[in-house]
Amino acid sequence: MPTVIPPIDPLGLPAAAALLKALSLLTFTLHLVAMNVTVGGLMMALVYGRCREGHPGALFAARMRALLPSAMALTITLGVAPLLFVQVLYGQAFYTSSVLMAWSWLLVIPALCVAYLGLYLAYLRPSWIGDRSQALAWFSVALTLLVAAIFANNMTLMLQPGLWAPLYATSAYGIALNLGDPMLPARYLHTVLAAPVVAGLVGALMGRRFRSPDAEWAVWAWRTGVRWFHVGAGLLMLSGVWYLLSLPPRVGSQFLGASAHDTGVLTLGIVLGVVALAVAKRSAWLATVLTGLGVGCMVVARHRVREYMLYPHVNAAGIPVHADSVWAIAFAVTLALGAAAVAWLVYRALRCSGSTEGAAPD
Amino acid sequence: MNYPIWDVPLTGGGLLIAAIAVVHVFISHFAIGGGLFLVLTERMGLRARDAAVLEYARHHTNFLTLVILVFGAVTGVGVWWTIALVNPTAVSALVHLFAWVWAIAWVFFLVEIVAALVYRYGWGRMDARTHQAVGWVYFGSAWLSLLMINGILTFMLTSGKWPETQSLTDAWMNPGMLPSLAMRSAVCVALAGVYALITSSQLADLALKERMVRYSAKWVIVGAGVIPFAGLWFAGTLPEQARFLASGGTPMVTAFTVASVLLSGLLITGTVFGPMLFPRQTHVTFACVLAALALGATGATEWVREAVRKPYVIYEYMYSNSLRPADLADVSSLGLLASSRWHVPAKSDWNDPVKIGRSVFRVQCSSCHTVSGLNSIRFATRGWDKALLDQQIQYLNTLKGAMPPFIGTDEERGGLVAYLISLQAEGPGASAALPARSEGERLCRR
Repeated sequence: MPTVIPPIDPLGLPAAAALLKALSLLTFTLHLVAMNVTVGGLMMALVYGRCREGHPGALFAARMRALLPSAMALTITLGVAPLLFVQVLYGQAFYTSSVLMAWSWLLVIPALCVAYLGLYLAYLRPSWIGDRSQALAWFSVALTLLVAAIFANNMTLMLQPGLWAPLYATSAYGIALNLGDPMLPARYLHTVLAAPVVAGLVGALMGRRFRSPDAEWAVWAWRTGVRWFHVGAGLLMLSGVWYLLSLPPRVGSQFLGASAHDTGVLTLGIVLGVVALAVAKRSAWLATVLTGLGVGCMVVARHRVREYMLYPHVNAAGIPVHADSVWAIAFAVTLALGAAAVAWLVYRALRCSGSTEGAAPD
Repeated sequence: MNYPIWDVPLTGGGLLIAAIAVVHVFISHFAIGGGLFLVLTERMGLRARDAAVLEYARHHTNFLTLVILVFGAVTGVGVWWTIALVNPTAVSALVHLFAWVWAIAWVFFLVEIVAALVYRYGWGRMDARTHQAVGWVYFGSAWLSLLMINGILTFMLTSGKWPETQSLTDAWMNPGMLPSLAMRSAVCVALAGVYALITSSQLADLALKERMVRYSAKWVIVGAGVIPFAGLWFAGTLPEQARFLASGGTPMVTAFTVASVLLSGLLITGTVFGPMLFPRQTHVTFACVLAALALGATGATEWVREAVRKPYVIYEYMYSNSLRPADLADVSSLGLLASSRWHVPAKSDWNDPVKIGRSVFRVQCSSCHTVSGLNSIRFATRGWDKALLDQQIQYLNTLKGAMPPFIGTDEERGGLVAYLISLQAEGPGASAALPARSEGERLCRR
């Protein structure tokens, strides 16, 4: 097989690889949570959108629907940063696999636009499209699942340097896919099943938030959210076992005792998930925090899989560092100010929720 | 050379980039200008205690924040997405050099999205002062994200002191940065007015329509009026070769430059003699025609900005075919294909000049030329004989200023000539119909 690993970019890394990896993991965790809220929320809105008027499910679906366009906008925006860091750290693999499956990779852009448009029309402008809003929402779900499948394809193909040259020899038209990889279906299912788990928590939290004015509905929302969380988490764990077994033995074994660190991270993630399941009925907030930490552990485990799969062909730690501390500090300051601004904006939005007085008449 | 090459038949990858980039530039600029428009229009309504103006601003907010911002975001990612597929080496260089700048821009972008969503949500719910503050956060963060990204875009054309200093600050604060920022800010204002004309021209209340259409038209005129001055400032920072290409050096680039000026002129004229003078009679169709002119002007200007960068994709650092001047000596001595990781011909093909030439074409020419489609190499070399082809390729950068030099061994150059000759034989009869250009013509052309 010819050597097809692209060379390291001569401009090097702008900071230590460890810092960039940490930022990558942090931003990807945020993106993942937003994505799960969007996809899982869409599923819940569709399932309960069929309830007759007066049923708590109808109000639940309506409140979930109101969240979705914003959740999708945030998913896309939060996805930009991890995409940047993956290019900085693993560009040699990421660009290569992207080019090999160029057409399907490019399809992500129109698919996201159409999915968002469908969501916007179905949930914020239903009067424009009449009784087709439900069908349009299903179409948006299908498109988001398609986008997830394309991402899973690229994220697994970039981990398989041995496949690149044969795929390119087959076609240079950018039509390759990684369909023969046993990791692909397991990883895809694992990603998709996380959506109802997180969205279930959001549903349960909605029950907490609207508890006082809407007592009966709040209990229903609470129970429904927790049920989705429990069922989804059970299925998620099963798919996680499948994903673990689908990894090449040299990689999978690292999480089964060969590496104390990686085994510890995976175990911690599972334990956090199990404790979250146990406490969910009593405290959705605690379950949310534990789930967030569990998602963080799984993101670290996913990152470690990538490192093992790519080593020694692509090794971010081996890229020379041309650090620019002034700009790194500028980023840190901007991030802090940006986080403060977002916190203030969310606080202001929460404070005025439910109010109808203000700058302009309704 | 270092990455696989995505074969896009007929159009090549460049057209895909252009299609997405033009849409993105159009949407993102009027999303930024739209933020300023919303805040100032709301303030105007609040000061006048005019509920109708506030209702107009609120209606305008819905579409802008919920559709434009997302499409702006998706197409923005889409632009870099597509460039990375067509020219991964160049994107890799920009990402590695400007990682912190991208990251800072992302923070501003995130704040912009959240602020836009809260601004929309806050209509009728927040007190006016807070709502205005949220609006300013929205516009401010949007403009700051433009500030950051603009420095990367202009770096690709005016790399300034960076080649010597290798400093990120020098790369970002390049000579074209400030004039381009002024120009793009003016474009934001003009496009905000263009879009506002579409919504205001549909108002049923004629008195309100008159006020808002005229108000929107002023945005177009002010923004578009600043663009030529900022444009001239920007043009003054361009490398000599880029100025030459835009002002007669290449007919196609010059044509697009003229188109950009003409379309902008038509936009201003149409706005003055339409919405400004006859606000009550302004129909939404006319507003859409003005928007189409603005889109055309944006597309033509962006096309020129891309085209005058040739033969580079990153000025003085990387040619449009991803090869770097710094690698010229090594690659020439070792051989292009031997240096290539992905396009090494099979052993059996090394004795076939046409197969060698095909690989050389893919690595070195296919970023701009297709075989038979857009910017077709078969068409460009129709009727050329072997000697003329060899001469042209050998002195490519001196004979054709917008093209990088040929990089490779004599054997590879011979292979490329053989491949291009073979295309004429395979082609739709062009070479048979045209007499081969001779040595005499070649000398005349020089």
